[in-house]
Amino acid sequence: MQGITDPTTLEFLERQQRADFWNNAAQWGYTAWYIGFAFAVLLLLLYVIIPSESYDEVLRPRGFLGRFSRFRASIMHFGAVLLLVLCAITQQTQVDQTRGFAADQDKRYEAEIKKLTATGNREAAMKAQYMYLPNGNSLLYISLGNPSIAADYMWLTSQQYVVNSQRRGQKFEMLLRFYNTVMELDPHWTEAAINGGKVLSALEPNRYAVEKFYSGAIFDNPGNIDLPYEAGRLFVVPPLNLELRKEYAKHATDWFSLVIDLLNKRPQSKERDSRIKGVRDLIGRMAVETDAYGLAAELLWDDMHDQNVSKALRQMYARDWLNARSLLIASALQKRVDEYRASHFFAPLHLGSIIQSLKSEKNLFLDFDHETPKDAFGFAIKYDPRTGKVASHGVQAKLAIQAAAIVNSIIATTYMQYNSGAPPKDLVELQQFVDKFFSIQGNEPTSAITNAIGMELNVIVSPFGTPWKYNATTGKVETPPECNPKTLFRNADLLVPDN
Amino acid sequence: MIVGAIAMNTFREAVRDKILYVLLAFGVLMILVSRAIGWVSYGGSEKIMTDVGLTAIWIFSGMVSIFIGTGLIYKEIDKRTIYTILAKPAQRWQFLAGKYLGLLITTLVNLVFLSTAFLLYLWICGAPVTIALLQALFLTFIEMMVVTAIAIFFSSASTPILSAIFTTIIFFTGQMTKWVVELGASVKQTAPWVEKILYACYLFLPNLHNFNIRQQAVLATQENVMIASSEMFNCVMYGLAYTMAVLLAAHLIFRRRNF
Repeated sequence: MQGITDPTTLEFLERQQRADFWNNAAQWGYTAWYIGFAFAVLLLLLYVIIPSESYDEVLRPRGFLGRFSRFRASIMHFGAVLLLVLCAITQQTQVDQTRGFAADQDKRYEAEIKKLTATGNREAAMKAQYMYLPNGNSLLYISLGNPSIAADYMWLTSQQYVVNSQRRGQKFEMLLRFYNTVMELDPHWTEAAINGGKVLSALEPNRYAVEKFYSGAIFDNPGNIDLPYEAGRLFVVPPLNLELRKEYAKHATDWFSLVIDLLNKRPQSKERDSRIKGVRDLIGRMAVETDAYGLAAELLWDDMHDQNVSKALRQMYARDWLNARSLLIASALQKRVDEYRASHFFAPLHLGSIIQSLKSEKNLFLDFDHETPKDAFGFAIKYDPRTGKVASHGVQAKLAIQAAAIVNSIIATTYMQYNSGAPPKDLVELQQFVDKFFSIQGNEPTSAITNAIGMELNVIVSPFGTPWKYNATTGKVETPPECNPKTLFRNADLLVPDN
Repeated sequence: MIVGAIAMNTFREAVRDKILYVLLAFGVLMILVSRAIGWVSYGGSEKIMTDVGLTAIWIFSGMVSIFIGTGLIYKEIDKRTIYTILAKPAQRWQFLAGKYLGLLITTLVNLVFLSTAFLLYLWICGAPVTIALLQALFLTFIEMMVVTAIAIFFSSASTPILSAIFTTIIFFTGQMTKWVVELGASVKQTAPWVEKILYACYLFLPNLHNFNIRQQAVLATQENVMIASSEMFNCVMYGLAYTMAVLLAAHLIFRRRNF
C-alpha cells in the first residue's frame, strides 16, 4: 500500500501514467463524440437542403446542390446511422456510470454482499447469495430432463463459489447446499460426493454437517466403499475440543467398520485384503480413543504378526500394541477399583485382591503372573490408594514424549521469537505467555497442541502428574530416562526383533 | 423400389443442405469443448466430458431432424416438384415413406458421424469407452426416429416455420412428460378433471424421456456394466410403435390433401 501512495516509487509513477492515459482518452472521446454529432447533424441538414432531383420539370439544373441529389439518400442514411450510433454510445456511457463496466459488476455484487454481511443481517446476506442459486428441480426442467448435465453445471458453479467466497474472505454457508443439489440431480455421482466431502471437510467447521452429506450419498450408493471410508476419515483428525475426541473416534470406528463389512462381501483378492488391512489399522488406532482397548489390542496384535507387512511397520504396530494393552490393563484395574469403592466406600489399600479376582478371568490380555502388575511397557502399574486412581507409567511416558516436544517447540518457535531470542526464566512465565498468546483470535492452538498438553494448555505439569524439570539455560523441559524411545519401547523390539 | 429411390433422392437433397454442415460443425465443436469444461472441474472431468458429448449429440441430432424434416414435403409442394413424382406410378404413401426414410438416413449418418467423433475423442483423451455409451447413442437414434416422424407429420400438413415450431415444442415437452403426470397429481384434489386431461396428454404425447438413458450410461461406464437389454427392448418397441402411428396419421392427412 505504501508504494501506491508514495510518489517516489515506480508503482506510484506507473499508476499515475495509467490514470493520465485514460484521462486523455476520455478527453479525446468527448471531442470525437462532439465532432461526430456535428457531422451527423450536418449530413441531415444537407439531406434537407439538397433537392431530390438534379433538374426541374423543364430540365433546368437545380443549382450547385442539385448536383448532389443522387447522393441525397446515402447522405441521409449515413447521417442517421451516425446519429443513432452516437445515441447508443451515450446510453452505454449512462449505463456504465450507474452500473459500472461489465467486469466491475461482479465486484459490486461482492461488495454489496460484504456490506450486508458486515451489518450483521445474516439472513439478508444469505438471501442475496441464494438469489442466483437454482434448486435441483428447476434445473431438471431447464436441462430438459438431463439431470446429469445439470449436476455438472452445479458442480462447476460450486467451484466458482468456493473461489469467490475465498476471495471475499467469507464463510461457505452455501457450499453444502450446492453439493446437496449436485447429489439430488445425480445421486450416483460418487466422485463428486467424495470430492465435495473433501472440500467441505476442509472448509466447513461442523464435521457432523459434512457427515450428514456423506450419509445421504451413502444411502443412495449403499455398495460404495469409498464414501463410508471418507466419512470415517472425517473424524480421524482429532477435534480442537478434546471432549469430542471420544465421540469423533466412535464415529470414525463405526464408518470404518461399515467399510470392512462391505469389503468382506467382495470376492477375495490381494487388493481387497490390503484395503481391509489398512482400514483395520485405522480402527485399531481409533479404538484406543473410544476406550475399546481390547479391540485395539486385538487388531494391533494381528497386524504386528502379519508377515506380509514390512518390519518397520510391524514395529510401529508393536509400539501401538504396547500402548493399547497397557491402557487395557489399567482400565480393567480401574474398573475393579471403582467397583470396590462403590461397595466399600473407600478405595483398596493395594491391588492384591483385585489382581486375584482378575486372574480367575480368562482374558488373553490380562494374564498376570505377578502380585504387582506391570503394564505392557514393563513398568509397574501406578496406584494411588488415596484417590483410587490407576495409571500406566508407560502410557504416561509415551504422552510425556509428545508433551515435552510440544512444550519445547512452543518455547523455541513462539516464546523466544517474542522475547528477543531469550527463553523463559521459569515455567510460570511460560504459562502466562501461553495463556495470553493462544487467547488472541487467530492464534488458536492446533489439535496437536491440545492433544499433547490438554485443553487447558498446561505447560507446568507433565503427564506424570508432576511438574516438568525445566532447564532455563537451554530453554527446554527435560524428560525422565524412561522417556527415551529406546528404553520405553524395548518390549516392542522383543516382540518384533530387528533381525 | 419406389420408396428406396425417393429415400435416396431425399438423402442426396438433405446432404446438399448447408444447415446440416453448420449443425454438424457445431456438434463437433461442442464435443471438443467438453474436454475444456472437464479441465476446470475438480475431479469428474471424464464424466463431464461424456455428459456434454452425449447431450451435444442428442441436441444436434434433434435439430437436424427438425430443421431438415419440417421443410421436406412442403418444399416439394411449394416448388411443384411433387407433381412429377406423383404423376409416375408412385402412391402417396410411398412418397411419404420415401421422404421419411431419406430423412432417417440423413439423421443416422449425422448421428454416426458425431458419435464416431465423440467416441474417438473420448478414447484419445483416455476416458472409458463402453457398450453402455453405444446403448445410449442407439436409443438417441430411436428417439430421432420418432422426432423425424413428427417432423414429417407436421411438414405434410403445415408450413415449414409452423412445423418447426410444433415439432420443437413436442421435442421439448416429450422430454418432460413425466412431470405432466406429477402436475396432475398436484391438482388432483382441487380439479380432478384437470388431472385426467393431463394424464391423457401424458399418454398421447411421445414420451421421449424413455430414450434418455444418458445418465445411466455414464454411471454404467463408471462401473463398467451394461444397461439391461429388457429395458432397451421396451424402449425400442415403444419408439417403433409411436413412429408407425405418427407416420400413419401423416398419411391420413397427406392422402386427402389437395395441392
